[in-house]
Amino acid sequence: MAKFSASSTEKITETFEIILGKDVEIKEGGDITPNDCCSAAIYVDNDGKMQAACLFDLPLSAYTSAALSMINADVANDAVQEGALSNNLKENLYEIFNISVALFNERAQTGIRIKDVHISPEKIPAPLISMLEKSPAQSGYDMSIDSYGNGKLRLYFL
Amino acid sequence: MNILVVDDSKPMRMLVKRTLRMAGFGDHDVVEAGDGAEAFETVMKNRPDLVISDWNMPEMNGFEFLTKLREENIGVPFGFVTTEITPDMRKMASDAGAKFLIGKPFTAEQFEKELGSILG
Repeated sequence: MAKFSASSTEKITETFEIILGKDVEIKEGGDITPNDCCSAAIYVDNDGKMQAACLFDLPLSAYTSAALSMINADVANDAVQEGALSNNLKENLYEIFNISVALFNERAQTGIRIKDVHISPEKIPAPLISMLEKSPAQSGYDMSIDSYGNGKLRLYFL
Repeated sequence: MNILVVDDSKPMRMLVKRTLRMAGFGDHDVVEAGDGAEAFETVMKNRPDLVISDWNMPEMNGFEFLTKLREENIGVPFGFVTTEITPDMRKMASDAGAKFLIGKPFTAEQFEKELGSILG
């Protein structure tokens, strides 16, 4: 599978540090798939055509959404243990995905924006899973958020 | 001084407030509104010294909100903080009297630069 970079690891690090107000470390890795991720955001261009996607595993979904509004890390750890995010964390996660469009805008030919967010237990639609799995332009990362924890993300250009 | 932060996302309003603090504007009072219509009522009631507004919102979007303020001859300093920025949006915002248009994600340095002359 071809590797691609929506943004450099430096750009991804900077983007999440700005969003979360925390030190963040990013390394290549992130071996999650659309079938075992916790949350996914889909981005479209001005014509509504799907352009990009971003996947988080459960720990990253919990830690980023807690860090955004300085919710105690214990709450995020509880969400990881229970396997589900509270509505509060889901609301934060949507906003993180919304701002994360900046990760794709450098590479996109036209401006793109968020269209849908799927957060577990909501399933990612099967046709979308198939499209993501076949995408030749994808790259995974491991992210560590200071005072919270580690998780995985995967970026796709469709 | 009194700052009105307008965004339909509660986490984003929190993020704007956090960035205001990081930029050194933490001693100002902040009031919040969830869309343009609510924000317009808040302006009429509270008369803020600065409005920081999202562009895309339900009910009344940020541009419609700014236009309505100017139609009512309310010249409160106004700036946008928004995810999507196009050249057309920049021109529309500037023509309507917006002082700044900041893209998300934003930094404390950007807030300092754009808001410094307004908030002193």
